[in-house]
Amino acid sequence: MASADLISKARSEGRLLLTEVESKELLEEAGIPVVETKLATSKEEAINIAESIGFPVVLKIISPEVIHKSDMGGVKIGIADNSSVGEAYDSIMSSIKNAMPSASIHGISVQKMADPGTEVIIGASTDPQFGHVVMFGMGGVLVEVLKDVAIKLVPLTPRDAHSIVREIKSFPILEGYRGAPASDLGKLEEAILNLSNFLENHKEIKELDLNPVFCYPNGIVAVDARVVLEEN
Amino acid sequence: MGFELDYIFNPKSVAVAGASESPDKTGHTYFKNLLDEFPGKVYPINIRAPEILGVPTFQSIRDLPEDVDYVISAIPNRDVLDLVDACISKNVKTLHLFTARFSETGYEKETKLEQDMLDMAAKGGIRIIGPNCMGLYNPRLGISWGKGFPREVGNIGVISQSGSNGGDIVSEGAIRGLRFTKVISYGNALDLNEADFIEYLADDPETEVIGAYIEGVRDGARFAKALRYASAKKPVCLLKGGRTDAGTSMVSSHTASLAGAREVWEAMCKQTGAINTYSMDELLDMLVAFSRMSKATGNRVLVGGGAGGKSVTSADECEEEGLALQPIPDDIRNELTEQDPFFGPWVTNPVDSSIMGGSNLKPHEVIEFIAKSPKYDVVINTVSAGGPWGGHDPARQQRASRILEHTIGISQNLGKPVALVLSESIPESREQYEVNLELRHKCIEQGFAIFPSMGRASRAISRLVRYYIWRTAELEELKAPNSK
Repeated sequence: MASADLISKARSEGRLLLTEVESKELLEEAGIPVVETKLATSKEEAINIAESIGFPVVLKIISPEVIHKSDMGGVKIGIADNSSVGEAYDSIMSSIKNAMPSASIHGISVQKMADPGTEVIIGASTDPQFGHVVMFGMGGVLVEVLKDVAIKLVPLTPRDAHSIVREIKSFPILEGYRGAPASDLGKLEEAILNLSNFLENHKEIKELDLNPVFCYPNGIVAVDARVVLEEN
Repeated sequence: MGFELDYIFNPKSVAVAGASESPDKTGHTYFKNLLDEFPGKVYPINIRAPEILGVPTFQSIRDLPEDVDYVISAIPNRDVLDLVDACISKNVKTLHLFTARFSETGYEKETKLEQDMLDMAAKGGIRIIGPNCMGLYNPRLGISWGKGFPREVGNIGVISQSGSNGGDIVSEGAIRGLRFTKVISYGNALDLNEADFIEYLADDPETEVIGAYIEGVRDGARFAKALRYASAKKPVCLLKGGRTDAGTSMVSSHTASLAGAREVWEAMCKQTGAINTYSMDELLDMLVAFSRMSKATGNRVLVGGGAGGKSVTSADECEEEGLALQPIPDDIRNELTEQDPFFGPWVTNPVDSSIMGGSNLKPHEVIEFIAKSPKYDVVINTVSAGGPWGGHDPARQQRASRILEHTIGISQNLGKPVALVLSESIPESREQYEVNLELRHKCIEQGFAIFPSMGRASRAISRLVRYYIWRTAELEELKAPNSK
């Protein structure tokens, strides 16, 4: 679905929060690598998707009402075969129906389980004075506790993208600290520039988080994504 | 980009609506300043007084014998629509409104009046400065809102949302040797706003440094663009007053919770090359550094730090601000040792001249001698004609003039950027006070950037160096074929 359609669909359903599947589709179109993620609305579909993208996979509940998916039993990771996909599907459905009987369920997303990499966060928000800003930081707990992030106003120049990844204190980790693999800084900068271009053309986006994004020596991939739209 | 606004700053004739007879009224000061200094035609408009300072008044702008370029309004807000109408009839180009009580009141009626005034002026081709502001100080032309602002022209352009802070920048800056090209107090920024003024000063050839006091911006994206455009040409130093309230809207992402108003402002400054300051002192320090020091290309500093412990704390302060205390280079060390085998090897950076008593090295000359090494990018020297307590000491006064003489040598003969640390404490003895004042005047006359402490000098220099590094990279990106 094209980005405009995705956004208008969410709006027509009275939603400002795009689902994970929608968010990833939107960002992939913007030129940001995302983990291949598809929506299944039945157990059989989930198994078919898993087979086509390859094991191991991750299953996640897709429901606008369910924000903290893991806390409610809405996430199963490291699923290695067909029968486990079926079990995971049923288990997620029954957990959510028990915990939130009124939640509207779009289905369950099936995605490739990404290889572990260095975790970073890429995000955007809307400042009341300056409009869209892009944020970059180390992922996981570090972003919340240490607030080790850098911010740039949209539009970013290539030099701004170069600076934003280097301004954080944890930058030596991305360079490959003590023998750990270095992160693909070129791909990170490219994704950040693509995000900036995308935001310039999409004033209707209020906030977004790509968290975490896994960085590898060759390439990066966004594992989770959420997009929030502006109220009309 | 912004220089088409030059006519606004260079009117050929000015009328003051609400020019007052009474010397304590601002409407009087505007008129008196113009009468004393402005070379073009000046008209007082006053409905009651037949003449002001010997000049016959007019009842209305409409009654003027010819067109007028620039009108200063010091009349009550209820009469502004009629004033705008009168201005249109005389082809006025710029209307500055000292007149206040518009949208800043938060009241509906006054906000509507402001909007009506803007609409009317726009239709008549009139640009507005303000309302609710002190307007323009242009020493070259003799337009000024202050009593006794310097008449000499300098190299600093300033914009200030607040008239009182704008006035402080002029007068507090003046005693540290700062002089200005144009200072604009712009209040509510109804028509011409901060981005217009920054663009103008960026393109103004006589403005080499820009300072700004800003509370809120009308159009953030355009302002950021204007800052970046200006920073590529000349330094822009900002002081942000107040904080925007971003807390009212719901925040649901990590990014939004981490990108608050303060963080975004700081990030915006970093990205656009603007120098963000946190106090009036720091803003003035940066204006002093940029307008009175030559360009520093690196952070390797040579320090004349004073005696003993003062040298030690000077070193700490410089290093904490990111300056590099380059050790005495070998070739210089060898020359010093030749001059004095005992003291030569002992000299360090910061240079502690108090150890040199009885040596062949002349304490006041040593720093100039060391500064000639290309390994030093910038020099900070300390000068003092005596302490705050204990009366006047002629020997110290003499030493101070010798230090000053050789510091002049560093800036003039070696062409290096130099900062002088000169204490601001007020001596207990009147005689010593006079001596210190004279030394201060001499330092300023010689063109030095003076700072009240080593900490403030080193912080300002560190930020100055970072700006020039930023600008070099920015200009490279602008030159690159794929740049936007």
